[in-house]
Amino acid sequence: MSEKITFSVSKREGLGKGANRQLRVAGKVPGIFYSTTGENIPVQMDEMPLVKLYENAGLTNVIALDIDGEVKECLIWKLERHPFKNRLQHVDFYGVDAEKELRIKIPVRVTGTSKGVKLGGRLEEYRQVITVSAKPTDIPNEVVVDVTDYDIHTSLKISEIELPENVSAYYDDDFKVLAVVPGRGSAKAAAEDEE
Amino acid sequence: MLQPRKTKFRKQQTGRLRGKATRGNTIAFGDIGLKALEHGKISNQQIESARIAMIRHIRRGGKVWIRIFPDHVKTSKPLEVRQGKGKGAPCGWYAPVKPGRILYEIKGVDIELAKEALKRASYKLPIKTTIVVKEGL
Repeated sequence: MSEKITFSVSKREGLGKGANRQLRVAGKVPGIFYSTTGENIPVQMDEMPLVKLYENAGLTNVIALDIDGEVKECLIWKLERHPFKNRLQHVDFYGVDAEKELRIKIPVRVTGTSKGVKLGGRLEEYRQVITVSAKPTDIPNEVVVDVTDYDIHTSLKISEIELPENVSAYYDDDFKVLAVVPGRGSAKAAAEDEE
Repeated sequence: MLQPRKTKFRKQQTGRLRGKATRGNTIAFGDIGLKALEHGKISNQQIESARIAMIRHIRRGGKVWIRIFPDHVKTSKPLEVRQGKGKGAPCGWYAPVKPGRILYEIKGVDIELAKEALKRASYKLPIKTTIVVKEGL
């Protein structure tokens, strides 16, 4: 994202279950800002602007958080929702250091119809998110994988994913992200061929 | 139909359903799901009936997950029997559901088709439900 979004919040005085419940009744959302120095600031904000902020910035774009006039750079780290009402319960802002790399989960989006699927195979997506390591401003919103050339028995491992510059995938084992496997129809056809 | 393979005891105390679903309340596997808005006991027949309604509408492709399991036994006394003389005989299975619980999830089909399939499934269930879509879709 080219321009940093600025979002205003105010410091929260009341702490704990009772105070936060009263805030939610008043249409506000309690939250917390975790700073890089270990100093955590409880904050509060209106719900609708927060919903709009999340729509625009998501979890991967750095925002400028204005806490009663003091501007800090951060990411939306976690949004807690009500189990069945369409309401936000709590938000975590994670203060970032522009020079320091951090690990974050980003979604994998698959595009195109693979060659193998057209031949009767099945595309299996084993991972919908992957963990990457990057500086806050370099974090991509998503990883796009084009599967058009994928034939049956073709798979994509995490080490083979093409990522932007200054972004690296974080993993222990080199696991498969997706694969095109033979479908029921193609297995039957193969058996008939053998006969 | 779904039911436990074996149980430690034949009958259970009924218990009460209170509170909200604190687990199983987010979409975990699919792209779209059906969420409970009320407390209720969903029998294994209802779970199966809703599943069939869903997959018949989808016809082919896609994958369906059932996120609840009927692991509670239901008992009933025979007709025209006086009260007392012990608890009734086991007669079925149900899944206790709290509001917020995801009941079914679908992946791999067009989102409008999946919505219609979940709507049809909801008609087979004894509780109010809503359709929820995974964030980012």
